[in-house]
Amino acid sequence: MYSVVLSLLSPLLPAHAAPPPSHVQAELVAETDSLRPGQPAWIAVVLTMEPGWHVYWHNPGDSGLSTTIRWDLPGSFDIGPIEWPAPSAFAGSEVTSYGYEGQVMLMSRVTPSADASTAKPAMLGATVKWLECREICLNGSTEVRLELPIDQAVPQLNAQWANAFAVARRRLPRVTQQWAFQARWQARQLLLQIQYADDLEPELSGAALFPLQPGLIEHNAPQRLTHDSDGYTLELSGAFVAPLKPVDRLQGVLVLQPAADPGEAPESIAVQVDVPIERIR
Amino acid sequence: MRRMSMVGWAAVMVLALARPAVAAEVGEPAPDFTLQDVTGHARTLSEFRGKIVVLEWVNPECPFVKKHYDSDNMQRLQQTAAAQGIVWLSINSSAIGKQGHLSPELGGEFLTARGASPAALLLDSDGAVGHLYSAKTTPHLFVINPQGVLVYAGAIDSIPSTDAGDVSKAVNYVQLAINDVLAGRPVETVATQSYGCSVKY
Repeated sequence: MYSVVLSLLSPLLPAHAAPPPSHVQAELVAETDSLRPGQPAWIAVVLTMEPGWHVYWHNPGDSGLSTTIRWDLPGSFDIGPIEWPAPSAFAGSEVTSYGYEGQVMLMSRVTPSADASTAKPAMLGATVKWLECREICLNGSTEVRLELPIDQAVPQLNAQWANAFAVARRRLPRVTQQWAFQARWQARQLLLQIQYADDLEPELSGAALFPLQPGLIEHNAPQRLTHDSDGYTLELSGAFVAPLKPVDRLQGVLVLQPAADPGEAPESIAVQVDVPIERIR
Repeated sequence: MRRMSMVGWAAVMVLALARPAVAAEVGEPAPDFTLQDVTGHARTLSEFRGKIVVLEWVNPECPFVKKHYDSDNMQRLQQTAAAQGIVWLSINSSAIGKQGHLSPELGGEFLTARGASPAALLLDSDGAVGHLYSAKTTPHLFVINPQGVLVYAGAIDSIPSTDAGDVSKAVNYVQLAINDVLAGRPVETVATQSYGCSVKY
């Protein structure tokens, strides 16, 4: 197995300027060393960023541009959507945007067809496009490739990447049975009620909602978490600009921060939210 | 009726007080301001009362701005505006030392190099006017009618990308707003979410 990275820098710069070096490296990796016909497997585009640089989530927020992947796979392969890790918020003056720094794995489930040929390895490819920003923003674009044998044998875990896949998958925003959500408009605020299914409600020290839909909430406004006998409420400011098409569902990622006892540093919990919004604005 | 804890109420109160008032609101009078242009002259928004005014937030280094200048889209909009008696004001709010900051000299060079023809390129390096209008991105566009009311605020067009090829496929909200005002109609699309690089305050 090998991966080849070709950097194609943005053609949008004036022709007379030398293109600036990219601060993000992309590669295509797989959890296993081979693929089995008819069996789903995980592959990922890994973006590694220089310190201070970030790329954007599916909803980039107030500024920036979504990271996109265009797959180039054998015709008989099925590919699922990108499983976006929970983003971070990058707050500036007047703007808050959503994305990733350091390293991010954008994974998708790939399934070769049941009759996929085992005669020769499959070439998996992708064109990855992003906007990388620190103080300034640069277009980034790369074609990545990965060759994997197709084999009837049980695929073995890749020594280099299997652990990273397991960790990243565990941290993906999960569909939760333990928390229940309700969303409703109250004047210009969107209130997200958060209730725990059990009597033993964990104490939260904070929460942040990352909406999938741009233009629903004011990304740059503080989100205040309040607590009463019914549970928690996260107060979101509605966007100053109403969306062109009314939005009747709140979809996104809610990152819950459990309160810490002295000496503890509990990990945040990322859950998926997908609920109707009562009383459309 | 749910009762909120004291902490909960206090938090709500703080939230209500802390949320800043947005100075520029669509449907309201556009806030007045005075800025120096690249020739050193002070220009005031209210001096253009009686004409349609377009405000275009610009940062020459931003890939989204380059999309509209590389494709000649912005220059054409500016020329059409001038022919229609519309006052097009480009505004640079990049702080000193930040990306895209324009001195009068650099601003003049930018206009020449790009063949841009706004009525004025205004320098707002302390960001005061940017914050007054809550300018979030470059580009970020505002259209003000001859009575001084803000009638459009938001994206220049409907495709948030850095690809110059998207310009001809996109709906240009600024041109639509101008057309509505010239025809004496209420502006149909009054606000959209802007896209671009963050303004480098």
